[in-house]
Amino acid sequence: MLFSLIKKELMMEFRSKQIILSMLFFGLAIILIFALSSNVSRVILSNYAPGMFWLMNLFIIVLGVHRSFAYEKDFDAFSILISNPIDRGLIFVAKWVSGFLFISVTQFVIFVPFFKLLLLEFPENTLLFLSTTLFINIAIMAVANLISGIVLRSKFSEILLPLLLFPLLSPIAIAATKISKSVISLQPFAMWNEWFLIIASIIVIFGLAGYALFDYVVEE
Amino acid sequence: MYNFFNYFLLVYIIVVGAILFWFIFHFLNEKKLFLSNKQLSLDKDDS
Amino acid sequence: MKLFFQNKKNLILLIIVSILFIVNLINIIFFTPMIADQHWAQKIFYVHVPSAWVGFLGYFIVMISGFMLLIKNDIKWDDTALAAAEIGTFFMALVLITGPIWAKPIWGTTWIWEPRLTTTLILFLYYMGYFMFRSFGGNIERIRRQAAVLGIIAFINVPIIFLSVQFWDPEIQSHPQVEMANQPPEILYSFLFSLSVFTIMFILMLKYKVHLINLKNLSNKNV
Repeated sequence: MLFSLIKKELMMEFRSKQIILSMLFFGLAIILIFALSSNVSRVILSNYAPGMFWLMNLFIIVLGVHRSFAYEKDFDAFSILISNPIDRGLIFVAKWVSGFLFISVTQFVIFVPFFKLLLLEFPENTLLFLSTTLFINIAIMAVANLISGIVLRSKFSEILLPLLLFPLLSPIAIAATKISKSVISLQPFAMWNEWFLIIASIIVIFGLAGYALFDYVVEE
Repeated sequence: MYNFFNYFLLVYIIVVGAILFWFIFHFLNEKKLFLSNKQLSLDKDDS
Repeated sequence: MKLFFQNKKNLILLIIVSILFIVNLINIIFFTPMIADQHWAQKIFYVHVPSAWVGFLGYFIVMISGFMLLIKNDIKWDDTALAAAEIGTFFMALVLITGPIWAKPIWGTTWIWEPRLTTTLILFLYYMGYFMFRSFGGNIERIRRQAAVLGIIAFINVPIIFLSVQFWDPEIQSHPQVEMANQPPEILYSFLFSLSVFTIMFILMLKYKVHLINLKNLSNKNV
């Protein structure tokens, strides 16, 4: 059951490529604005780089998740989806997994322009940087999909989603910036393992909460 | 200013004032709602 | 349907709360010891910390009411949730206003990113979103349920936010006087008395607000 839901999400995206492309180009636009509006030396910019990277990620995730839920509103597809006799928590898990895949693909692509256009050097342990980024994506996607499911039906979902999401993402933002900064400056795992544990606990807590509460969220 | 009495006074005026304002505001609100509710139920009974 | 304070019990509660609050004020002004270096500014914490406590208590009740609404589907739990959310946000706003005023003489700076204040700010912003969500219209049954879920998510996030901000910058310590047990008895007992006065006042405000929400629902039905 879960597999067919995930397959549906992926096939829809594969056909239209809306979500990934819009996230990608929005990310590039944000990098452009960062480059134009930061009038500082490269040293200061390289200190600020992890924060800017995650700021960009948060914005494009809001766009992507909103888009991924919004196309369910067309032709009332969502009502048809939930009238099926399936466990509604699985809809949350399917959106979570597919959203994670979309943002990961986007980040693999946008990671290059981010460092090149801002005239920064690539982090030395690129693989570790990317894997921690993917790990943090799981956490952000869990929270984002749960909130998006709640505001989906409302008229003003575009305003409500970032408004409700950003306060909830604050601990993830702190942890993500700390982890990225430690990875870029080559600190050993023991220095940033507490942030890693915080992200892991957010994944567990919000994954379970999302799976359990999504049933009540999408009732007619 | 060394004894910081002004800060103390400002905080307490804000806190006490806000709580008093809350009660007064809701009391007036209740009166308005109560009267309009009575009026509405009287109108309903008439019709 | 009568006015709230026409009910004898509520009127007595209001009188008791008023007397206790005045006693509390007199106690703070005249009978608590004066700390060196901080003088009058130290006494701010007798209302600042109980306000924060009442704010978090309000949000805790929103979470509990949210759970009960999802389980039992009785509308009175949503009324309790909305009332507790409004009063909790009221006290959190007080914390955010009095916090910088307290911080200025004690710390020298107006704002500081320490765990409790940051958690208060995040929750305050989140609940602004909560109220906007409730007021944006739509099917009222759906809104009640989804607002209940929002309330639950808000509070389960509190320990996460608190821990993250605490690890964020180890140099920023919490406000002084955070170790309550180490305080001398005059400060401790006055603080506990202030805390209980604020809690009883919160209960009165909660009952009053639930009554008002009932009244509003009734007048909406009559229209």
